[in-house]
Amino acid sequence: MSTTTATSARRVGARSSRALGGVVAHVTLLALAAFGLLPVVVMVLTSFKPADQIFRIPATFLPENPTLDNYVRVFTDSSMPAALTNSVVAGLLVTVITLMLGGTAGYAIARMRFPGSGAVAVGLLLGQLLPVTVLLLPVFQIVVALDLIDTIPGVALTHLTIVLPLVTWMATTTFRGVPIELEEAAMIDGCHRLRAVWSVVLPVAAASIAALAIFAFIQSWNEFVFASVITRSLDAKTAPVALTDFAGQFEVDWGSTTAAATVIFLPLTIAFLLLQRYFVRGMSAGAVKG
Amino acid sequence: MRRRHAVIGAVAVAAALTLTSCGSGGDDAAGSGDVTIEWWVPNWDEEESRDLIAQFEEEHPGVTIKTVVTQWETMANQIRVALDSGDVPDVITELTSRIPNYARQDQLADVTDWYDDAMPRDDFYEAAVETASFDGVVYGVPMRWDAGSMIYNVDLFEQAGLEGPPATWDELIEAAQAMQELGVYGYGWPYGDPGNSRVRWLNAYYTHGGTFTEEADGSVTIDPAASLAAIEMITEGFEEGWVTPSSLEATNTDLQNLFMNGQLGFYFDGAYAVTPIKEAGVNVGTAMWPGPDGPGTVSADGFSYIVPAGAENLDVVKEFVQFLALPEHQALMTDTFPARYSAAEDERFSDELLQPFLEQHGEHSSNRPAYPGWEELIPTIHSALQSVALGDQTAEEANEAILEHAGQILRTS
Amino acid sequence: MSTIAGARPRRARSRAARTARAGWLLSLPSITVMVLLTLAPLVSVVIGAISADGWERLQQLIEAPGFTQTLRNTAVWVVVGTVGSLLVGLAGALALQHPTVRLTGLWRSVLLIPWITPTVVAATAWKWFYSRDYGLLNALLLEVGVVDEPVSWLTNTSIALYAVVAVHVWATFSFVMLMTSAGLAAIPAELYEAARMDGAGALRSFLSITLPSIRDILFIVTLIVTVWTLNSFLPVWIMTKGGPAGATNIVPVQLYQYFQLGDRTAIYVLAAFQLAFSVAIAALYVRQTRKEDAA
Repeated sequence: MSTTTATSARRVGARSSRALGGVVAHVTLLALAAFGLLPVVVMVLTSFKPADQIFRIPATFLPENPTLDNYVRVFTDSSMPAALTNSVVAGLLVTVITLMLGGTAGYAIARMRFPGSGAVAVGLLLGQLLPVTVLLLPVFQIVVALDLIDTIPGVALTHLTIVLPLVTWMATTTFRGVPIELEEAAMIDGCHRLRAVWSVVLPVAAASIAALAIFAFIQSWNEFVFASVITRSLDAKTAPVALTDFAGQFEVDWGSTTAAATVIFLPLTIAFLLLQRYFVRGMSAGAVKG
Repeated sequence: MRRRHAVIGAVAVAAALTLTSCGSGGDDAAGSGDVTIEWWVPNWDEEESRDLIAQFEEEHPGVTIKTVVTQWETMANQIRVALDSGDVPDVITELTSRIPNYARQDQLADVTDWYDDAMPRDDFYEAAVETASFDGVVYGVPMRWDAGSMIYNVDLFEQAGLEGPPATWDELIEAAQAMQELGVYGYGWPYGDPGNSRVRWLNAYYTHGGTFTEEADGSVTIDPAASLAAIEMITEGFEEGWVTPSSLEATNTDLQNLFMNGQLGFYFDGAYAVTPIKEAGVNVGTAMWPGPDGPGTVSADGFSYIVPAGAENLDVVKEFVQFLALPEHQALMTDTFPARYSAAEDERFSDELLQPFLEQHGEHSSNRPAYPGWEELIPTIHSALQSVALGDQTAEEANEAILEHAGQILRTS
Repeated sequence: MSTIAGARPRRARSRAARTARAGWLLSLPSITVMVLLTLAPLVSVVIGAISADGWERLQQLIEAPGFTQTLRNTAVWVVVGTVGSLLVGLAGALALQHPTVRLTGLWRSVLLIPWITPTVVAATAWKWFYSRDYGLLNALLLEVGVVDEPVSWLTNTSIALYAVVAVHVWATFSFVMLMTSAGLAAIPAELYEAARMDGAGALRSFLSITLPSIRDILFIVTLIVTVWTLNSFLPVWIMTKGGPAGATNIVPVQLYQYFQLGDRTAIYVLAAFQLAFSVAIAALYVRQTRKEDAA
């Protein structure tokens, strides 16, 4: 008798605390979304304003006579379409290389206790700590020496500097977090280590690896400083650099800049929306049993 | 075994990276006697450049001009990195005031002798050629030279009962106060931008007769009285309320927008602003920007053709640059004004509104100093102006800070 | 890690050697790439900084007016920026985990947008947002009546730095959220169930299950965000260029100025300065993880 009421009381208590938690969670998410979207909304709305309305005082939120002129200009009379393609290709190239090199190195450091692994890990990290400003000239000279100026592989190479060490570190952490028993179980069953990793470890770490892939891609996508000196023509110009094409010495075409910026982030957001399933919660739930 | 495959795979990818490179297309000669010249052109000059290139190539068979288009935001970094690394083109259109930075590091070719009968030096604005020089040697051929003058709102002036634009500083303050009574601000300063801030200080400094004195020990001194007068001139009005407080975060473009919105009676800007302002429907007038007793002095800037030290085929490059520097071609290419007196007579610059600009940067302008350490003074001057405008410092204190820092870092070489 | 108790037979020893060699081979490509790209600059920075010219330049820099201010600003920038980013990101990740939240994919995509927006554009949009005359923020605040006069967000020396830090937090919290989220997703639901059965409340579950499980990823995320913040110059560069009156001048911004001037010695000295701090922080992190491995 009393046990049932106690349990049901606890369940009710649990349910209301869950509801409260839910409210807090949603409020947090809404606040974050507002914070995150506000300048972006300003940007998008500006892209629909004709040039003379952009700096109207007092500031108007919504465009009075919305126009598509800026977008037309971006698509027909600018370097943006080509630059977007370049950014996507460069980003994919960087992501693939980083996952392969960083993933394998991360696994090696995490699992194979080879002498000097600590030094390697730290050494990789050291390069990451240097500010871009200092790396600019030396990396540029390497790209010149390899004859990769104004090419997408050249851009991808420079992006490795800012992406590879971090991905290696994070991969190490990820693999360390996967219980070693999984691979051992698979290997006892006769698998080679590679097969064991492929079929057992990677699925468990999928969410983290997907996160690393996204990290690598976005870092490459956003990168401006290296790209601005490595690229010279539409052959390799990336999106962030192309954005500055609308800025002259004296005036900036803000309508086109904001339209182009919208064209940059919107498809990417949609792409990530579609890739969300790799973050399904509880994917690893079945892993550690017995 | 599998492991080795993985490793080989990784190495293969790295190798593939190198092999798939489509080279940047070096300037290989198509055949013996054929010359390719690489020219870095800013995107605002690109259209005009095409006609000129076609013309030059026709007159010089065997010569091909290849262009790489630069952009305002990224050109400084690109040029800096290219010159530092030695991977250089043959001709670059670059901001004249940045030339000494490269010349100091021996990265540019000496073009003093290029000013011959075909391209007489005295037809160029002397301040322009001086700004393109370093240590007595000329390193650039100016193609564009401009400063700024006063742009004012004719309607607001009429409303305030003013007869015309101010010709002296006192008249300027009167005009500003008249604007204040109308409910708008008199003018503003671009103190949101460090570079612009320094230019305003430099203009006021020159206007008050300031010079840069090279001492025997290699230091360069600033005239304290002129500097103080300069600071006072360009920070008064904040407290009194006839200078807009937005100045502290404004760039010149922001001031232009404020002016177009009818919030400023007048302001200092380049001639390029006249057309957009007219199109925005403002009844615009222009005049020279005054000093204490008459037109003030302005420091101008512009663009020049420079030749990196490692460029080849210098004789062809010289011909090309002299071709580009012809008066009629300068008049065609420039987005503001040319850098030669004869080019300035072109019909393109005959509009009445443009005359004050021509007169001010033709007769009342000075070159920009190029001493080592000069660039480093930018944040100090910027900071000083802002703190006085904010009321955090007196003009004397700010002046002290500038003089002290200048004393530490300004050198003749 | 699996260990073989007792003496190691020869077969196991050579196996260990093979594993070690394999480990090196797998890491080699990464090492090669990074060594090629960063070793030379690293060396030139160190050499340039400790040379005679370097010491002299360091002296000049320290004596220049505004140096203490720059240092102070940098400290504030790093601490507030990092902590802010971590807190906001963590809050987002935790909120996303709550069982009542549907459409987590949509939320996550929306909250990724700040990170996807190129910094150049984002900083400019924020600059407008903060503008005294055209800014939406002032317009809103005036409308609602919170303030009587427009606020000078970017030109008031006391608040400018924080205004720009907010932009940095805005640009980086998505990363923290993403990484922490992945870590949280790996926590088996059963652990929470079991805890609930035992009567643990939300706070207790958080402290004893959530935090320890994501500790590793939190550490590295903290390290990364700290280094990013320390090296970040674009938001300040675009919004205030170090003003007003040096109120937002931080070391990386100064470094970029020297780069544009071509002042090599100053670059080396300042970079070494920055590097020293980054290395100290990284060392802390490495020591922390080493301790855990031993445990």
